[in-house]
Amino acid sequence: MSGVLQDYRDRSELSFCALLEESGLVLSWKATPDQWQVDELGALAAGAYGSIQALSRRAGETGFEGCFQHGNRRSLHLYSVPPTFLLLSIFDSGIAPGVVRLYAGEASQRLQQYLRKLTEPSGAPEGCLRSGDLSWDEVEKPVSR
Amino acid sequence: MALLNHENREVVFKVVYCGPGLSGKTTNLNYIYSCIDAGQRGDLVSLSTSTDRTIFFDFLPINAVILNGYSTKFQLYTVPGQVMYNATRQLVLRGADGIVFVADSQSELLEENVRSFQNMEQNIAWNHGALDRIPMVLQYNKRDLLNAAPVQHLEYLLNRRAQRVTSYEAVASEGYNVFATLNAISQLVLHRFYQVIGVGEDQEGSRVEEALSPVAQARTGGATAMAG
Ligand SMILES: Nc1nc2c(ncn2[C@@H]2O[C@H](COP(=O)(O)OP(=O)(O)O)[C@@H](O)[C@H]2O)c(=O)[nH]1
Ligand SMILES: [Mg+2]
Repeated sequence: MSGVLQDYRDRSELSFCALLEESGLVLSWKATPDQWQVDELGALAAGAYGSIQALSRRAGETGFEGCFQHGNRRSLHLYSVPPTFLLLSIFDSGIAPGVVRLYAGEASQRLQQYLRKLTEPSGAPEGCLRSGDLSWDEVEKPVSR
Repeated sequence: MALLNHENREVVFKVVYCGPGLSGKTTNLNYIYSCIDAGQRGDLVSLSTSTDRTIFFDFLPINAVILNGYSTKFQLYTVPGQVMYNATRQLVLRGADGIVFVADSQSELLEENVRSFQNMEQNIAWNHGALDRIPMVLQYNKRDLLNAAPVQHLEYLLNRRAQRVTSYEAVASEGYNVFATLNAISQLVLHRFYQVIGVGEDQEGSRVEEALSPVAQARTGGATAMAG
């Protein structure tokens, strides 16, 4: 999962990208050395994505892939990773949105494969998500130092 | 939905403060924010109008403690109480691991509390299925006001399901029982998490205590004794 994001970030030359759940929880992220308040970005991105999706539904749209904000300095892109995740990308406004969109689509496809494993019954227990390739035994046992 | 992040070795939980408009949800978060060390929390984000009413949510991330090498984090949200913001309430409730219902104790507002509670139940049904499956704590706020209804009355209206939940009398504006409420919901959320991942009851007990001591220690000033 981390590799997919890194690859996506490198190819699209993003300043920041994160995979999050629609609840706002950030599963994984990659960034330039800048300081980013990741939790905060997650909460705001999920809120914005959910709002635009709900608006578009009320406007009669049936499908929803995401949305884009063109900035002077940096632009934002939110892209769906079905069934319940999304990809947040932040990038310099000089970068063509089409490129980001293209690579976001690819990354979304690849991430869906990982996420299916995480959310299927044999993956994480019900009501819980896990990020990375952690085995549950590892959590249950106290970590010895 | 709790998130276990292997990369950063952390477990993250989402706790949502619900309740009617002006019941004191934002006041709870402000108080928590003001008591916890900057190193133990992030910034408080408020999406509010110029008149200070929450229009989308308030958001405050806090760190609890290292559990088995994993740091536990709680993300606290409030929802806007006003009727017209139902769509955003539904969004904020997505993936909630725990709920604090902040009721306004004023006698004149009893009906509003009930309506808000029912609305929350519907929104949870829309998101998850059933309220019974999400840990919840009730907070009867504004106990300092002369027109506060008797607690038994509030209990009767809001806490008579088969599975009764813990409730606290609070004065959020003075910090009274704000941390007691937060500790209670955090414990329930962790308890549920351990049930889900299948950790035994006795093992779990000590860990929950351990997890919450920093939050408890973060209480400064104000009366914070547990209710009841
Ligand atoms: N008297 C009294 N006022 C309170 C208490 N808690 C909150 N308030 C006040 O109630 C008003 C609304 O609080 P707020 O937190 O913004 O409500 P929210 O809409 O639930 O977020 C504010 O003026 C608070 O100062 C309390 O315990 N007692
Ligand atoms: Mg508010």
